[in-house]
Parts: sequence; C-alpha cells; structure tokens
Amino acid sequence: MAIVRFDPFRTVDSLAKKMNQMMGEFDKGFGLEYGGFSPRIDISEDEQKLHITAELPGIEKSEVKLSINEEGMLSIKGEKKREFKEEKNEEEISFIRAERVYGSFTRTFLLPDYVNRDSIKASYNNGVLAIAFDKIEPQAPKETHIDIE
Amino acid sequence: MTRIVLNPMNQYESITKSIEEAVRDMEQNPNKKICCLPKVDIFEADKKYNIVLELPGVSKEDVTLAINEENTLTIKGEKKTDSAEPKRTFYRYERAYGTFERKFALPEDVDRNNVKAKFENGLLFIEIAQKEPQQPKEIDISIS
Repeated sequence: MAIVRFDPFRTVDSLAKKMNQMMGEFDKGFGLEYGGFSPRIDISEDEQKLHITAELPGIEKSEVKLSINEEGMLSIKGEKKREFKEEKNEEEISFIRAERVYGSFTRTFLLPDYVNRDSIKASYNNGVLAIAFDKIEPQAPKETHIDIE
Repeated sequence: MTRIVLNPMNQYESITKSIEEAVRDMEQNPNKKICCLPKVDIFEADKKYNIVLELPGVSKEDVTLAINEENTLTIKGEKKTDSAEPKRTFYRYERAYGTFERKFALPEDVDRNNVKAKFENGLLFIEIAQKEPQQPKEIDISIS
C-alpha cells in the first residue's frame, strides 16, 4: 500500500473520473454492438488445464491477435471480413440473404492466479480458436516478517 | 415455365406440412438437442448462386447436403462437443451444441447437377450454377 496524503475530495474525484470514462464509452457505442460481431466463447477447466474456446467462423488465423497484459487480462482481437474478393464490383453481387455479421471484435478475460501464463497454447481448427493454460499451485501472498526488538 | 394450378391455400398447406414434419421429428427423437440456426449468406455472382454457412466447430463428416426434385436445398448436421473428457467445470457456456437443419427453396434456374461444396475455416461454401435461360421456341405459322 502506498502512503497517500489525506484528501477529503479523493472519492469525489475518482467518481468524476469514472463518469467521464463512462461517457467516453457512450460516445463509442456499447461494447457488444461495437463492430457488430462478438464471438461465442466457452471457458472450462479440467484437472490439469484451463480451456478457452472461441467460435471464429471464416476468420483467417492471421487476423486474430492474442495478448496477455501485466495484470493477467487475456484479450482476443480480430476482424471478420467478407469472403468474396474486394475487387469485385458491388453490382456484380446481388444478395438474396444476409444473416452473417462482419466487423472487428474484442473479448477480454481476467485470468485466474492459478494458471501459468507462459504455458499458453493456441490452435485454430474448423473455425474454432482453442486456447489452453497449464494450471499451477496458486502462490501464497508474500509476507515479510518483522522482528520486534 | 412449369404450369402451376392456382391454389390460394397453397402457402398455408406448406406451412401446415412443415409444422407436422417438425412435430413428427420431435416425437421420433425426443432426446434430440437442437443447437442453433447457422447463419447464412446467399448471393448471386458470376452466374452462380453462392451459399455461405457459418458452422464453427463442426466437422465435415457431420454435415449432409441434399437437393430434392423440388429444388429444396437441405443442410443438416450435428455440432458435437469437442471436450472428450466429461470432468470439466464450465465458467462460461456461450457455444451451443446439438443438431441443426436449414432448408432453402432454390429458384427454378439452378443446375442441380452442377453443385460444388467445400469446408474452410468453419464455413461451408456451396456453389450452384445457374442454367442457361432457355429461349422460348418460336414456331412460324404460315397464314394461308
């Protein structure tokens, strides 16, 4: 814990900051609707591993980006593009039915502390991205004993 | 052009028929779990009908495709769970598993013998060629 100088308005300040943040997100649009496409995800666990599978039909492997930040947030980002060639004129293609949605997507999850973040393995098969982590014993919080003289 | 006798009840009959079919199907397989309605795009390009279906996590062997004489295309199959181990604890369960079926009435000009299908990245691509439009035959009738 950092030593902080007492400021009676601190809570008000942080509230105002949060409000500003929220309003900023409002402008961008709500998370789910942003980009129009949000992949379906399963998260499960067996004795050795934590599994995350995401349905990404029609997305090239190279279009998907996986990253873990310092706080243990795993994010899956990417873009779903239309299949037919861009150089084709719109006029040459006439749609009879269009149910599929396209666009960029992001999904973020906080990893639990009992997985080894470096053990991440990812594979892409049949339109499904499968991510697996090895499980480890959670580290006990570090305690420093101080002798009393 | 095929000759169709005008029957104002035609549509209602086909709706009743499909409801009956669904009920019969449910009675026959009470344990069948329906997974989803796979999303589809259908478009016309290069004198072909293109059908693109989203089937993530479905293997090629579990999909069947058929076109009947009335030009109805049926795509059905099953999305199986990929976890072989039953001892899994789920924290998030957004994906659905089970059987699926979609049917589309294709236009008259499809060439049923010229259909191609391939499976790629969880997408099923179906290409159906359009028949050359037949010129209406003209018969000269001499006026005597």
